Amino acid sequence: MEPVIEAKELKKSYNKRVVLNIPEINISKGESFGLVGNNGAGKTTFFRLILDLIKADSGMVLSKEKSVAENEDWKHYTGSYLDEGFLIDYLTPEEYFNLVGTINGLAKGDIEQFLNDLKEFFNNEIIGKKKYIRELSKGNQKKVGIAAAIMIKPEILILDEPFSNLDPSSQFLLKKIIKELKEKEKITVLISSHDLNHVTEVCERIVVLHEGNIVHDLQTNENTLKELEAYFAVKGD
Amino acid sequence: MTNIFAFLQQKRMFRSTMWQRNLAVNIFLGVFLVLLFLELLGLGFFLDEILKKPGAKYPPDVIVAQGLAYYYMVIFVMRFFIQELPTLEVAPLLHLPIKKSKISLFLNFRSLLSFFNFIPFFLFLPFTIKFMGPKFGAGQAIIWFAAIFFFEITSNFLLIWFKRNYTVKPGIIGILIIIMGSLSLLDKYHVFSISSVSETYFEGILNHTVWIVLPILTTLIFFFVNYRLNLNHLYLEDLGKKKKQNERITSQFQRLESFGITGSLILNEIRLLFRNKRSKSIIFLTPFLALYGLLFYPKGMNPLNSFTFALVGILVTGAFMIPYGQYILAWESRQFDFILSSNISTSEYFRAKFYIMVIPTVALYLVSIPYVFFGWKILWVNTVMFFYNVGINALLLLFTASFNRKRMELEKGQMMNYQGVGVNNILNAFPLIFLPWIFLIIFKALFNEVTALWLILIMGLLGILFHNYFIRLAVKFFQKNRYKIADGFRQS
Repeated sequence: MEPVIEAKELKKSYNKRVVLNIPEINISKGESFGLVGNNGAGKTTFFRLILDLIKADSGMVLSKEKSVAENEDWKHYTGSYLDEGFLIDYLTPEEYFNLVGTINGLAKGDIEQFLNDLKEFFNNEIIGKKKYIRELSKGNQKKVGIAAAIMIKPEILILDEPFSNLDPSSQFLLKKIIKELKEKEKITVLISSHDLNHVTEVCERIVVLHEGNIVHDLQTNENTLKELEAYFAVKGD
Repeated sequence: MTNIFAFLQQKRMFRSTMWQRNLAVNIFLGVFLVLLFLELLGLGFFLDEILKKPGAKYPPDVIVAQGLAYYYMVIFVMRFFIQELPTLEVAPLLHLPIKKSKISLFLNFRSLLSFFNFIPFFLFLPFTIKFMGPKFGAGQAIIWFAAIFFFEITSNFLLIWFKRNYTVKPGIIGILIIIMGSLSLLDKYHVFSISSVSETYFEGILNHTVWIVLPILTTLIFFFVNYRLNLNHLYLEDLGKKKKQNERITSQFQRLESFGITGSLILNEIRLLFRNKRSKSIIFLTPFLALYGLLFYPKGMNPLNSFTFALVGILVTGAFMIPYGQYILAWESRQFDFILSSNISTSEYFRAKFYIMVIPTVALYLVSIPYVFFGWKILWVNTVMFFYNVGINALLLLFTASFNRKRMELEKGQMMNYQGVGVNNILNAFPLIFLPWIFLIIFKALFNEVTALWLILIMGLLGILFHNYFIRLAVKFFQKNRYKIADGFRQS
């Protein structure tokens, strides 16, 4: 499989503490890629580097063989939601979807159609409420961000902790949505999560980060969850 | 119990994020505040001598007595802009076993700490001691000052009552200003003289000590009214900000969406402006700056003095651009990761920013045309400065935007909220305002005034002609610094 995202000799440190050190990793087209690790393992840092939001100390990230730091082509086909910094909190959700849609050249009708398809996921709490995004709950804000990332019909979808703050039904629906995108649209999905259950359910490949290093790189099978649980279990004495 | 409140208050003061700003800003603000107080104190100390000017119709005490009504009006409007309600501070106490009456009392007393309530001590106490005491005797002077003080406290409680009942809308402030304006007009044409009412009271109290009851009574009444209001509204939903309906204003701009990405970005910026407290204060500031000309033009200054006109012209036509443009990227600091990772090309983004500064500037120029009433020269200088603002300043701001790397929280008011204001930004405004002035001086020295103005006009026109080129340069400059900017914006 051709790789859509490659990292080479990627290094990032803050105040001389290395937070990410990936000599090499390739993510293939259509792969669903899960990133797990404890707080501070470097998950968000890795995603931010892929999205060219922070500067690598050395090495580079290639998206479709082009360095993300040196050209902007990846923006056309990458949808992402990492945190609230991706939302515009003084807009209503509709206004935000319209803005994102216009930026990505979607027609008004397409946007409406898309929002209509997500009705169940939104659970009647997001559209038509005349609330600004900043007045929504954390979980609903996250839904807006994830929906906007999916709406632009990306080839690569990057989500940081998509399951946290969501209620159980929404978690379930989100997993369904992601699986469908993967099967029907063949998009590449990158997800980070603290929740081993969700991530093993959605992802074919799971990479464990520990203090910035890749310590496991697994293809998901029936034993993966157990392996991961064993790895993360706090070893008592 | 009072101790707990005092304890919390003290901790709040000393642990305020205010102290965590960088040292330079704190020093700058410290010096600024000290200067402000010294100026007030100096004014208070020399007030009698200032008012004793030869040719003054009345003795100083009468002039002060007449002016006090206006003083209270001006301070009240300023309070409206600046004074915050302390209500949110008590939110964490609501679930604790503290009597609501205590919390309500605390809220009332807490509001007394506002800086405005101390102004009489700087402005009028020196005058009382230096002038009123010797002239009318210590006892009368104390009563006189007490009356001034209690009216100030009344104004404090009245404001709080006002602000809790009505959200700050441009309309209400407009009404207040209209009321003030018509009162002073009525005064000027001797229809109804608010100043003689003020005079009657503040002169009268020197003879009738018992008149002191009036301000004490109003203080008590509004204290009690607020106390009741607090008591009945001590719920989380009452403490927070009232919801504002700005849909109406911004929906008028909906059509911008049909202008593609640039239109959408401008629409987004308009929504930013109208829906956040901090940016809204720019909207309030703009008309004041635009009316700045009224302070200078009517004075019949030497019409050949184009230097003052040039300064005023820059401020009048740049009334929006100068305060807003300095933070042209920082306004979006909270969603900057969105901007960076979205499918927006940076040059498109910068072009939208350019228009956001230029369009209001064009509008302000059109609005400023009636200044021609004070002379054709003013229109000419304003035209030159307008072109300079669009052709040079707007582009300059696109460059300097890259130096502003501080995150801004938009939901906090502008006044006394110096978040995002670095020394850079304060220095930023100087070249915008004084550079054209310096050009004028140099050109005038080299050639003559007419040529000097033409040269500045040509500079502006060249900037407009080549704006695409300069925007590209600004984009390149931004690209080089983008990680640092984004990193700064992420630090809350």
